[in-house]
Amino acid sequence: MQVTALAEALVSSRHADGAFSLADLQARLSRAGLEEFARAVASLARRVKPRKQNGPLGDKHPWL
Amino acid sequence: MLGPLRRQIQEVIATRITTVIREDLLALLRRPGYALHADGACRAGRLALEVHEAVTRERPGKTALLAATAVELQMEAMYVFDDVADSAPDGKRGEDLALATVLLTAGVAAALEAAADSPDRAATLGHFCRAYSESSAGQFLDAKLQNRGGATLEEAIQATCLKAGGLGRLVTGFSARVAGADWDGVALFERFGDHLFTLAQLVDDLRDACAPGHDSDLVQRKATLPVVFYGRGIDSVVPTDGMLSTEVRTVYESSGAPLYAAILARAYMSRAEEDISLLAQQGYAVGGLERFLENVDSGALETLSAARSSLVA
Repeated sequence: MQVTALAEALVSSRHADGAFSLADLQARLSRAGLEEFARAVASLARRVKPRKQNGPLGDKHPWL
Repeated sequence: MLGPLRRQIQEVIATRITTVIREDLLALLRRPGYALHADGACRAGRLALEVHEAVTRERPGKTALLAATAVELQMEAMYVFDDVADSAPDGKRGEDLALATVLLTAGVAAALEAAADSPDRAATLGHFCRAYSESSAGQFLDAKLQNRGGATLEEAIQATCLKAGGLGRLVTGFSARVAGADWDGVALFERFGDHLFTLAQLVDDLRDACAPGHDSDLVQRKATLPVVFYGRGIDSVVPTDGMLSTEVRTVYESSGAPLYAAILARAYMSRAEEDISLLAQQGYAVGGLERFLENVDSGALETLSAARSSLVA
């Protein structure tokens, strides 16, 4: 499991405001051939419902 | 399912362990988090029983309960090791270490009896020893990395896979062999146990990074994947007074470390789901295994909630 490559992709996907873009991260992981992690990010994005770009947070507990 | 398992654990202790130490051992197992406490999860024993039922499609009998007892006692010994390793030296923990060795002895006694009628007794017991030695090697590496400091992510994943994955392989591989699964089935059950317990470890590591007070993995500078990831950041604030401050907690939650561990957990969740799908294709009754997996995974998203504010779509 390429845990260091995942860490580097994650750090690279961080915006200037400190937020992490899941879409950007997923694309980076796919380009790097880390498909298992890219699928994991896509799955997480569906389940945690992150806020939109420059938007407010979603429901307080969307998965409950 | 927990009631019969707890009664079997007590029977093994009553019949295999010398009276001199018996009550002390039972008192240890009644501590919070341990097998005989009302809230004790008995994760290893419960999974072993689910595997047995998946193979035989029958409610667990004596042999299944003995196999579950064997792996649960081995896991309880690991808990003792963790408790001792994490506690400040006070001269009293030697007693607990002695009890841990007794737990291992009781576990082996239960394993011998559980494997007595298995199709390949030598292979079943050989697996029991090999898988547990891998898990113990993971415990050793984990403690060594914590003492040394400066662990890399590669070292942290190796320790996690050995420690937790090895224990998962022990539980599912032993129970599947005792239940009479064929070679292909045993291999699949072992893989499922590996992925499931590694997932469980990652979920625990997500939760424990910011546990209150001295129990925090961040404070103890453990070599878990989220803590090691956090330590790589140039702006990471380190706990200095043995307590988890609000500042450290805030910096940690926005560092990407919880997200990092959650992605790894999600990858292992997918692997475990794939394993269950393959087991179902082979004709095993996987309903109990699916529920067990869902239960383990439910903790991951709740723990990640603290870091949601730092995520955008």
